[in-house]
Amino acid sequence: MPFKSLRSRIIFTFLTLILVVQFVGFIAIWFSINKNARVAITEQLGIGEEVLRNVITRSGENLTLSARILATDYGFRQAIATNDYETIKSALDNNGARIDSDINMLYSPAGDREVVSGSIPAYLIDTPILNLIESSQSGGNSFGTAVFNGKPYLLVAVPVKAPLTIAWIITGFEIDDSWAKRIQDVSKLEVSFITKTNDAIAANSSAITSKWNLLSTTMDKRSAQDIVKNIPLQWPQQVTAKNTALTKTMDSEVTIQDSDYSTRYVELLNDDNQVLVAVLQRSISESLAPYLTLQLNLLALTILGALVFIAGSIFTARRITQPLTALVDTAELLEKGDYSDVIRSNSNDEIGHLGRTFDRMREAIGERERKISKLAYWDELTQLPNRAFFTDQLLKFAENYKENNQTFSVLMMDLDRFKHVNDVLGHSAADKLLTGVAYRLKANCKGDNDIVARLGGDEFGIILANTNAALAVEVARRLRSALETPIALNDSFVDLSAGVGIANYPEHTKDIELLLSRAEIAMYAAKNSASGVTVYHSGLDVANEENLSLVSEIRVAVEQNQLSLYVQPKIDFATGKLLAVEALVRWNHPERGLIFPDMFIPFAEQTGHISKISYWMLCESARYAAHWQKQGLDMTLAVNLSARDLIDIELPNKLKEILAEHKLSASSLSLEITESSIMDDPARALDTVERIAKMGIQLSIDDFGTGYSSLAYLKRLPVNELKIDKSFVMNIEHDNDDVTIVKSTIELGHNLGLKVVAEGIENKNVWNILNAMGCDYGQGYFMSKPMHASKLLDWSKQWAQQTILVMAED
Amino acid sequence: MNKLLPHHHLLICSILLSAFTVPTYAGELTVNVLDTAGAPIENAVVYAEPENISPLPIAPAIIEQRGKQFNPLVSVVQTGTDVTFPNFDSVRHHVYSFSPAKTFELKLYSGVPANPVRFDKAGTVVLGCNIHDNMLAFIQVVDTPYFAKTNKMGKATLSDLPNGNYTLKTWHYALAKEKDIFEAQLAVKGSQAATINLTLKPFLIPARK
Repeated sequence: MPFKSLRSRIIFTFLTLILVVQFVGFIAIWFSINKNARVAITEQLGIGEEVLRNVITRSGENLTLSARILATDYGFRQAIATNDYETIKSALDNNGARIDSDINMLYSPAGDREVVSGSIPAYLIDTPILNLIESSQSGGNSFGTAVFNGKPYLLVAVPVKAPLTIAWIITGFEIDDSWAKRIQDVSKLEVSFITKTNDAIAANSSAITSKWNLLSTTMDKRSAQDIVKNIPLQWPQQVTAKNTALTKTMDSEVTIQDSDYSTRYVELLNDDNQVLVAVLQRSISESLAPYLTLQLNLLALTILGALVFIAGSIFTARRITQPLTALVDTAELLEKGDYSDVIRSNSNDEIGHLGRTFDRMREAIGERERKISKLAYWDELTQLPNRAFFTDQLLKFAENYKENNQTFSVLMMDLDRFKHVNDVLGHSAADKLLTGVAYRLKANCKGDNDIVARLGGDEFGIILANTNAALAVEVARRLRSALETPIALNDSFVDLSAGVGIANYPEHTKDIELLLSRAEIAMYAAKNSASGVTVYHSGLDVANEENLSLVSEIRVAVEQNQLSLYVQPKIDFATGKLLAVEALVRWNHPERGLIFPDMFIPFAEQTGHISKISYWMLCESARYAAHWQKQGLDMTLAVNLSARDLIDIELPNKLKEILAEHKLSASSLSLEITESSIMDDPARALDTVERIAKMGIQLSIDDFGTGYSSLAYLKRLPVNELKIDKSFVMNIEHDNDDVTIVKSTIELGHNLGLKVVAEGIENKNVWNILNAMGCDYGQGYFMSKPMHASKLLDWSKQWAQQTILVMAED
Repeated sequence: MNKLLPHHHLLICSILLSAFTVPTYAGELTVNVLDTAGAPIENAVVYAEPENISPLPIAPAIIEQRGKQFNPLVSVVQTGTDVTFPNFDSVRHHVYSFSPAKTFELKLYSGVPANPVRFDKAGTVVLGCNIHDNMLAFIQVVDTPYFAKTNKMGKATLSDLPNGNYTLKTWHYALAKEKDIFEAQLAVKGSQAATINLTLKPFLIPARK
């Protein structure tokens, strides 16, 4: 049976037990009582029979005694000896009056009835008397029963001796109603006497019926009929030995007046003529009456016991389950992560023990969870929270925005060239580096609610509370400058730089995951740009639907020749002549029109399509170079290569093929590579670069100054040219630092034997400054915007005429 | 000790007489009394009544009372015999008889009563004591001087029995029918022997010490 609670299970179990026990006990006692009652009835009947026998025996003995007194009287004997019948009769009369007997007679030793005193019952027959005399003479009973004229008598036969037996005194009482009453008084049984003429006699005489006849009874008349009716037909079965009555009994149960009686039949006489039976009866219901009270008491006790037991069970169950319920409540709190609920168990029993153990477990689990969550949310190395904590915090900040409308920004930062540090200086140095970075980041995030976390590897995340985009950029720049101070590792100093991506909540998205990935995208964009700090915008997003479709269309663009080759001239400061052009790519999208490389080159790099674009660029550049040579315009085309191109070991061979195809010399093409493109896989990149250099193709370092300016590398690279990043050049008029940088770079390049190219020259003033600094070549809007390659011939003619003017204005 | 003799329904009497060498004047009659089963009967009284009685002196008889018993149990006396009843007990006795042959009583006495009782009529006299119910004795009063009692072997001897014709009678207190005294005509001629069979009824003799 299913139970909702332990309590009802306990109560049910105990209740069932007690009810079963009580019921079984009740049944057992009930049966026992019934059995005992019947045993008691049987005993009562036995006692009744004993009383009956005693009464008969005592009466017989008394009668015998009185007759004996008469028999020993000398005068009486003399009267008998002398046949003085008158005297004998008067003596018998006298004796009969004294003992109040109903029969007084004298029989001769030969069995003749000689003298009769008073009246004797009609139909008196000698047979039972002679039987009695014979019994008495031979030492048997001197008394016995007889039925005369339908009435039972108790008779005694006493010899008169002088000194031999000269006569028999026969005297007797009628066994009347008073006998039954006497026996009833002592035994408390119903007593009846019944008789019938023996079957054998009845069979011989049609006048006599052998029906049972009620002689006397203590019951009422109506019951009497039932007594006679209920006598078993076959009993007594046969004539017993003469005058040995009072031996045969039979028990049965009969119904009289609708109530059951235990009945004992006691055979008093069963001779040739008559059967005399005493019937002793006890009402069963009367006998059971006292037991019924007992049973009712027992039932009441049983019910009371069950009630007490129920109360006890409920009390016990409650005592057991109440602490358990408390434990359940606490366990539910534990489930929710609340470990504060103290369990108080004072009892010393198992439940109390359980409670205390449970409480210790609660404390232990709480402590362990604190440890685990620290581990789970903590980065041991940097002593900063980890990504999991960072994400959790973001969720909390998001919640906080809902309530307090407080915006926040996520900054994601990735160290440049960390892999290189790790490879060159080892893990422990890398760990120190990370620790140092962590320290600096923490030191520069001043907001109380700002969170700095290590997201993994060399990636750090920062949450700036209650901020906006402008503030976030400011903090990002501050962080970047904080990292600029080299970190001392193993007696050497390592320069640090990092790209920082910024995404604002809810400006950029309300989805935390998305916010993180957008900060990450911005970070990658930052690393690719000179400034090093980029705020997310949809243009960066690969996942942006527009961009995504672009990515998928790049391949098609290459195959369907949607790309166009643009060129921007490089001008010699000294002569003002067009010496070379930088090859640039534009995408003539069939639907969107002209797309600038910023929009698709980063994705092409990520997806690998950059190789195809690079190859297309090389081929197209070679074609134009050959074309221009035929037109008499001899100059170099500089093509940008990506990191991916540099690890392509087939690149030198491809270059050879392209040059051969257009019958060009190696000087017709030059290649521009960024420092960072080499750093992805310096070994292979260097190998490629060296092979290309050996072919005689010139190499230049692009965007110089934004990347990792290891002069050691620069020294090893077989390059011919440096291109100063336009971010330095554009501000050169106003920023003295930039002046210093550009000037130093030019000097550095020259000292290394390299030509120096400046990009981003937008006016004459800048041209002049750079010219004054000794810069070799210039590139910028001041001279020309990038133009379609097909327009270069016209431009070059135009420029040749302008040159004088430009130089003249100087 | 009580002695219960076997019980028979029928009275069977028979006499077997055998002649010996007979003296001319007198003889001796030896009688064997047996019950129907052939067992000897003690205390049977055997007497022979002659056709003509020649007067003979009659000796007085004594029946003692000793240990609250009559002694002997059975006596046989000739008619006219005086019997004295000396009491040897320390208690007194009241000897009586309601028998028709002799009704008498000797009221409470001790020692030897002053006068003997004369039994002058033939028949059986049953003696009792009114004080002690267990006291019982029989006197068979006969009209002949020729009588005897059987011993334990059931043997009685009538000696000095003159030749002549007799009625031989045998009585016992336990005879099945008291009146049926055995009778047989007997011609005595010298010594003879006879065997008599009696049918007895069970008879309880009160304990005798």
